[in-house]
Amino acid sequence: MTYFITVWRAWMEPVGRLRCNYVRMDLREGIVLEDVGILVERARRGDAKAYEALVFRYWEAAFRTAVVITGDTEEAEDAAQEAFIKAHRALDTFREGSSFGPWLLSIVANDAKNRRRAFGRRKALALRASEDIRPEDPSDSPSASLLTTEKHETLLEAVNELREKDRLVISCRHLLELSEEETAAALGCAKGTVKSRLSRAMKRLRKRMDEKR
Amino acid sequence: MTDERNLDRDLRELARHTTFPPTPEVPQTLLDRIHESPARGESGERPRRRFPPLRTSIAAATALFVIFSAILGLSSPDARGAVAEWLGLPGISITREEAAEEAAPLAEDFDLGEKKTLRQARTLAGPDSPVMMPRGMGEPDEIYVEMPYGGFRTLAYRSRTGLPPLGNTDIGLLFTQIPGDIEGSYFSKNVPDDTNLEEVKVNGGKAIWIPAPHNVSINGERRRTDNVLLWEKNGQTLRLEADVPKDEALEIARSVR
Repeated sequence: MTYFITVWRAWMEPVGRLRCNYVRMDLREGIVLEDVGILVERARRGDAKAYEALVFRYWEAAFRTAVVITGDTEEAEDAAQEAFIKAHRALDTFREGSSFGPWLLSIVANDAKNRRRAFGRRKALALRASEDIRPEDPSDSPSASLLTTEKHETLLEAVNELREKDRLVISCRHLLELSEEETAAALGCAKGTVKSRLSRAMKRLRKRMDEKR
Repeated sequence: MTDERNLDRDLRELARHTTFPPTPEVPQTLLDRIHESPARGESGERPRRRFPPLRTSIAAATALFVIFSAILGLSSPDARGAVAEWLGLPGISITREEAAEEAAPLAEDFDLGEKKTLRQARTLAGPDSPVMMPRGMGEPDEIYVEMPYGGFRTLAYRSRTGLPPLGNTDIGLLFTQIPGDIEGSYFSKNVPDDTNLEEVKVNGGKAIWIPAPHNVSINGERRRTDNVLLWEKNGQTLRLEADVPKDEALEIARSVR
C-alpha cells in the first residue's frame, strides 16, 4: 500500500504531489507525524512560517472536505480559510502529541456545516467521475473505458442520492480517503460510530445500486 | 446482487477517477493574517520577545547589526547568529566585510534545509539512500539537507561555462534528491493549462521536462524557477534546475550516479 503524502517541505512543481513509498509502512507514519509534529510545535511557539507550511500541506484536504459537506466550491474555500484562521488562534488548545490533521478537519467540518445550515437546502455533491485515462495501457479499448466511466457515474449518482449521513461517511472514507480518525473528526463523532455508520451506509448504497441495474 | 467486496472495490476505483473541483490557491489574505497575528503560546500569551518585533527588512537588520556589533565587538559566527535571533530575525545570514576571503554563499536564501558537508550528508543518508551526484562536475559547492530525514537533499553548483547563473544568483545548477516517486496519473490530470510540460525519458524511466519560467513553492516560499527536469531513479525523484536546453539537461541527468 502506498501513502499519499503531500510533501510540502519540498519542491512543488506545477506537476503536483509526490507519493512516498520508499520506506516500510510503520516508518512512513512516523515520518509524516514527526514532520507535522515539528511544524506544529514551531507554530505553537509563534513561528508563522511553520504554520504557513501546515496551511499549504492541509489546504487541499481542507478544501475538499468542505466541498463534500457544503457542496459549493466558494463556500468551501471560505470555510477552509476560516478554519485555518481559527485553528491558528486555537493552537494553544491543541494537545501536544495528538494528530493535527483530524483536529484541523474537525474545525473545517464545523465551519462547513454551519455554512450549509445557514444556506438551507443541501446542494448536490460537486464531484464528477472523470474519464478513464490510462495512457500506459494500450490494451484498453475505447468501449471498455466508456463502460467504466458509466459505471463510475452511476455509482457517484447513487452516492449523491443517499441521505446526508450516509453520503458524508462514504465520501469521507472512500472518496476523500480520510482515515477513520480523520472521518470521525470531520463528522464530529467517535471512531466506533464511523464504523457502524459506514456499514449501514454501504448497505443502503448496495441496495440503491441493485435498484439501478 | 452487489456484494460487499465488489462495492468496496468499486468505490476505491471511483476514488481514483473522481474529479474534485480544482483546488484554489491558498489565499494571500490567509497568509497575511497568519503573519499579522502570531499564534498564542502554551501559556496563553503571545510568544515572548525581549524586544518588539521588527520588520524583516535586510536593510534595517544590517543597520542595527552594524550598530550592535560595533558596541559589542562581535566577531564569531555564533555571536552573530545569537544577535540575529535576539533581533527576532532567525535564519538571516549577515556577512561581515572582513570575511571576504570566504566564498559568497550560493543558496542560503533558498530555505533548502541545513547546510552540510558532503561527508555529513553521506553520513545522514545512510546506506539505503546514497548521495547521488551528476558526474563530471566535481563536488558540489554547497549541500543542503532537509532535516529531520536526511534523504532529501539539494546540491548547489556555482555557475561556470556551460552553466549560466540562475536568475539573480550565482548558482549554475541545483540538483535535488527527493525520497518518493512522481505520481503518474496526477500529472496527466492535474497540470495547469498554461504549463508547457513534456514527458521525456531518462535511462528508460519516466521524466518530465518543465521549461522556464514557472513557479515553484518550497516550504511555502514561492519563486520563479528556470528549466527543470524531474525524473525517477531507484524509487526517488531527482530534480535538476539549470539554465540549459533540454538535451543538455538530459545528458546531465543520465550521468547521475
